[in-house]
Amino acid sequence: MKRKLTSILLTTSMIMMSLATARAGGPFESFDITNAGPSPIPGHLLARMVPIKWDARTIPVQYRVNNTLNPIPNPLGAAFLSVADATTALQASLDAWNSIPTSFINMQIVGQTANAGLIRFDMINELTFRTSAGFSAIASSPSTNLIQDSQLDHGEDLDGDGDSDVSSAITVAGDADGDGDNEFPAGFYKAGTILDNDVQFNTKTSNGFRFTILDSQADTVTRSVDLECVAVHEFGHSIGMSHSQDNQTGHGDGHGATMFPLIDTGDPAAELGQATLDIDDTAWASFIYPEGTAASGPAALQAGDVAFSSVFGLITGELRHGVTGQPIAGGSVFAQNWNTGENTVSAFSGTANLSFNPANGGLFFIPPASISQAILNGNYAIPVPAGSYSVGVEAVDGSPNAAGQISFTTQIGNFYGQQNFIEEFYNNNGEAAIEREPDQDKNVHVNAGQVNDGTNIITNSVITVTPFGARTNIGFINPPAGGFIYAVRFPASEIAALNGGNPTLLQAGLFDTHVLDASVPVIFAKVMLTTGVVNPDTTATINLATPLTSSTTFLAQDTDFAPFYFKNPHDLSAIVRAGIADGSIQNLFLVIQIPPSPFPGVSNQPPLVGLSSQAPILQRSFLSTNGGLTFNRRNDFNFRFQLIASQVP
Amino acid sequence: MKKIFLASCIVIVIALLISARWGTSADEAPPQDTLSTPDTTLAVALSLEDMVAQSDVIAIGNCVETKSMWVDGTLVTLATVAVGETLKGTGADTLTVVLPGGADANRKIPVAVSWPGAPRLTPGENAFLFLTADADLGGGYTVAGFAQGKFSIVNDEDGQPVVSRDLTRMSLQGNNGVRRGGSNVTPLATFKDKVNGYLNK
Repeated sequence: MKRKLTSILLTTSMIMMSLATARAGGPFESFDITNAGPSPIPGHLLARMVPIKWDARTIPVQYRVNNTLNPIPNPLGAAFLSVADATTALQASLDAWNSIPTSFINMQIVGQTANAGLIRFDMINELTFRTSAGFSAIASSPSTNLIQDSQLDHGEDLDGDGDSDVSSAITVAGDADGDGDNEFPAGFYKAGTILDNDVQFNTKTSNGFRFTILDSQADTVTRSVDLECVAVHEFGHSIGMSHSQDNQTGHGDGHGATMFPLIDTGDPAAELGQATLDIDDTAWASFIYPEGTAASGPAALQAGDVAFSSVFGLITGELRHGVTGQPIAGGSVFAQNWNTGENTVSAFSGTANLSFNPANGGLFFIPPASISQAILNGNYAIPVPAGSYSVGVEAVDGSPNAAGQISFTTQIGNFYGQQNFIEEFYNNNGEAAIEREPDQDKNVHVNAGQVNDGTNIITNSVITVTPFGARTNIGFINPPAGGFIYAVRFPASEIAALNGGNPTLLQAGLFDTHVLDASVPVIFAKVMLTTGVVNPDTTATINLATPLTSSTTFLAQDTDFAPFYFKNPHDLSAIVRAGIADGSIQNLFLVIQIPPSPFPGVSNQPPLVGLSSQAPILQRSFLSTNGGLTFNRRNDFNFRFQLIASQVP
Repeated sequence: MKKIFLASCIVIVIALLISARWGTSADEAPPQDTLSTPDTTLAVALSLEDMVAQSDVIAIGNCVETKSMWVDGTLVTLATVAVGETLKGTGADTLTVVLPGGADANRKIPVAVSWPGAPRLTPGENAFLFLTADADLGGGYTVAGFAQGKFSIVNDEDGQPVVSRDLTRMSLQGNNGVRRGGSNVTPLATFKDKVNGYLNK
């Protein structure tokens, strides 16, 4: 596949084009039925997924704080947080986004509202500590948006309250008539335009949280959380951002993106860290609201602004499924710093449709027989600071996030069975369904203001050996002095039978790994593929001294399968084949060892592995607690270690 | 430690110090602590036991219709579920599940209300539902734990029903290697047994 490198000056039109071809990236989605054609389902329309965002005419976005609960309830004890102090913290959280120099988003708290009820579509952007009885999340940020390109005329009553919400007398949205809600300037607006956004924080006694505002108040109480940490995340949704898959930066930093959908409320460092935007957050906020792309208005350069095109470029391409050949909707494509290996920015692939019933507002998946009308392409675009990157892909398969936590498009890809590929890297001309080394990567260099196009990726068709069921536990904690060394056995007979007995390439081991404290990077002391035997007493003797391949200081993943790519799979596989043939190899073992104590983080616990107690227990999992002298078979769990092989390319 | 969904926010417990338990010892190895992730396909969530306790209704059913409706100034989606089996609560033949967000194209300016991470039900979808009554939202039931209490029931490669976090067509998986159970799904019978086990505690 020929790679194209094009240099295109970033202009407004170019950026809009990019949005049009990569709608499933960082932006959060709604849908567009403008001029929609018929769906394969009779009576329905094809509804195209589109990002939601504020129109430039509605910026600065004006918020009002609900003042009907003052002080703000504390479900764990006496109330202590005033609306005034909360307002200060909320504005600081808005300013986290406002202060990105390459983004023109701007959100301001302009007053209060005395809504004694719940959030609603009322043209008031409300920040409230009231939630419904059934709302059990910590917070949320729903938006009301257009689903069709619309001409908003003077006097239009958008929310149906009998009051005009559109004025031809203004050019910037605001409370033009002084009645407490916002009016939009009259004019044409695109589908996806946000009309109203509310953010609600759950403080109910039944299932709510204590919100704190001082760093010193961040603690390990799981129902207590830093308000800014939560608010910065929610305001990311308020500007139209989706959730991110990025929950770890690299060896030196366990923090990920603010838009990762989880927060570790038992780890003060994680709470406070998540309040600080990551490059994944700032890049997407800048991509959606690119500074310097207009001659006037908020997108025009003003004092302190930095043009998006002077800092960022784009990596673009297509993601296709190596088994089905289909373009993939909602695959995660990520860019890692070429020099440091750190995660930077990630995106989701594909432009996709759902089926919309205009009669009652129902949304449906398009029947599989018509998948070509559901998934139009697998295109993606990643906004990255100028530099060199490795580009990789991973499925949105429930670890670390379920498809439903991200977007419609990730759910569409999942519905059609596409989220089942292994993590791998783009390697230019070697990109194919069957690759020799899935971790082989190509330096993708991006200059500011340029598009590096043609980073097209085909997911790998692999043979997996998966001797475990669903994750039921993670462990183990409280290691003895000898630490833990985990091992899973793969019998020679099983290896020999792979691919119908034809030669295979042993490419990688996948370890389901975890960490208790989200601020801590998941680092194991060592991983290896090695050989060993099972003794009559059910213990195993495993060759730790001369493994077939190994790696030290292994950076694993948090709540996900961490790939350990084997070095030189071709030669390694030949050695294994020969060893099986002459009887010198009876078993392969995938092995992972925790580092010595003490362990970083407030929990003082080692990195963990995923366990499954789901039957059958295959008795292939072994644990050493004495530095590898003895490996005892576990009859209670299957360790979730997977062996990846492929046909020989 | 405890991890919590933000926007979607589900009150989450990944490592669940609050529900930690001892792993059973095996052979000569000393016992070690493990931390129970939810006894489901979830990587992160309320424990299954918590969801069982918090739910007013636990039912297995098929979503037959969804429609959007304005309730107190916001759009919700009403999903009608034909109940095949009730494990807890009302024995009604159908249930109305109120999902946050929806769309209205029958107005001059068509709009949608979009909630990041909200639970969804699709007509035709079989689901295992943990529901709580919510008087604030039209008197229907909401999904327990925001999105956590909804699981899709799909067939695996062997045609066996399994409980999955997301609605997915398992049969399209193209792997041809040795598989001994999906890595992210639980057999329906196993899942149901666990729920019944907690109900009978």
